[in-house]
Amino acid sequence: MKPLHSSQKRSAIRTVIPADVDLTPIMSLFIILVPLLLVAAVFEQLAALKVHLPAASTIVEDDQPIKQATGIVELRLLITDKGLGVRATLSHDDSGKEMETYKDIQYEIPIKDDQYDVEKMQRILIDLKRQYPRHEDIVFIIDDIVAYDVIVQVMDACKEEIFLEAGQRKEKLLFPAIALSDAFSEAAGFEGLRKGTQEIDKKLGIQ
Amino acid sequence: MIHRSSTQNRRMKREQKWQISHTPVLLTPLVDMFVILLIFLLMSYSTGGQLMYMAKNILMPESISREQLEPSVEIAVATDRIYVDGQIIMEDLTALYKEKKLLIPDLYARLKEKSIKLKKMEEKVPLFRYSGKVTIQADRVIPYHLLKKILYTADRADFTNISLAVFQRD
Repeated sequence: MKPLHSSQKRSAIRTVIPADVDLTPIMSLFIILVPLLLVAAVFEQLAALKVHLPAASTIVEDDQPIKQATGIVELRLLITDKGLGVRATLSHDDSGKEMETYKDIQYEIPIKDDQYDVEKMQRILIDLKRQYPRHEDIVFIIDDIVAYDVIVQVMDACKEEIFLEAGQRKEKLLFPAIALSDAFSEAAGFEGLRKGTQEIDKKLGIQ
Repeated sequence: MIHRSSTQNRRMKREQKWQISHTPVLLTPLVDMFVILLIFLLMSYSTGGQLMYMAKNILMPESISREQLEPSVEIAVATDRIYVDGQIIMEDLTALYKEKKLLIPDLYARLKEKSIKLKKMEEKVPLFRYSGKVTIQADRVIPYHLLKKILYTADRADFTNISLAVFQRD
């Protein structure tokens, strides 16, 4: 290559323009995007918890499929101001053999340091699930003064077990079919209530 | 005092002018900040899901549930108020705390109106089905007997598909 003359060198230097990237368009884009995303940002994700209510009537519908025996006739969970309780009526023993008479088992989990011992309750349920893997139903029997927060925590613990396996989060279903049961079918209260709705219906002009 | 020659003066002025016109605004850090902000906001951006009327002073419980909320009639229960779809139904709940009966008449009347309206819509609008869906957002401190009354009232007013709204916990 031929060496440049000093005058040529100078002109070459002069023609190099400092590469200033024009940031104005990208700034405009950001200024629009940031408020838009700020408005649409969700900082608290909401979720739903499905609730099943026990049937208000005692009439058994014919078209309901007959449930296969799971080994547990009924599983109940008690939440009181003193603590939690698990009650189960078993029709089969651990080995899956049908027992002659139903066996009732019960566990009490008292409040520890002003906290409901949900973990201990879950361990009991995990044990039960291991013995009777096909059972899914659980009925909650809750005292009137128990706070809503406690109910949700206990529902979570009953639904599934979350554990870490090889550093991965795994979920295993326990008893997901939760029924919030109470005195909905209380005979005396029920009739009185029906009358109550009839009066309101009449006011609203509904038959 | 030193007297500068006119040429010197002129040169100085020229240099000053040159300096002023070329002071660059450093946009790079600003752009960096925006990029970080944008990434953060994109991460917390959620597509889909359901917009919900959030009543004031209601702190819902946290749950591990991942089920999505669906559009439905909303009942909001604060410690002192009950709303249906954002409208106040009851303003003082002290009487309700003492009440033995499970049915809440004001709430029932409101919900029944809604369910009748929705059922009428089912007849008129094709592809619309009455699902009886209702979402309850309740404060975490309300006692079970209040929740029970609301569940019962909703059930009586033909809203049998009941969901509880909760905050997702990681």
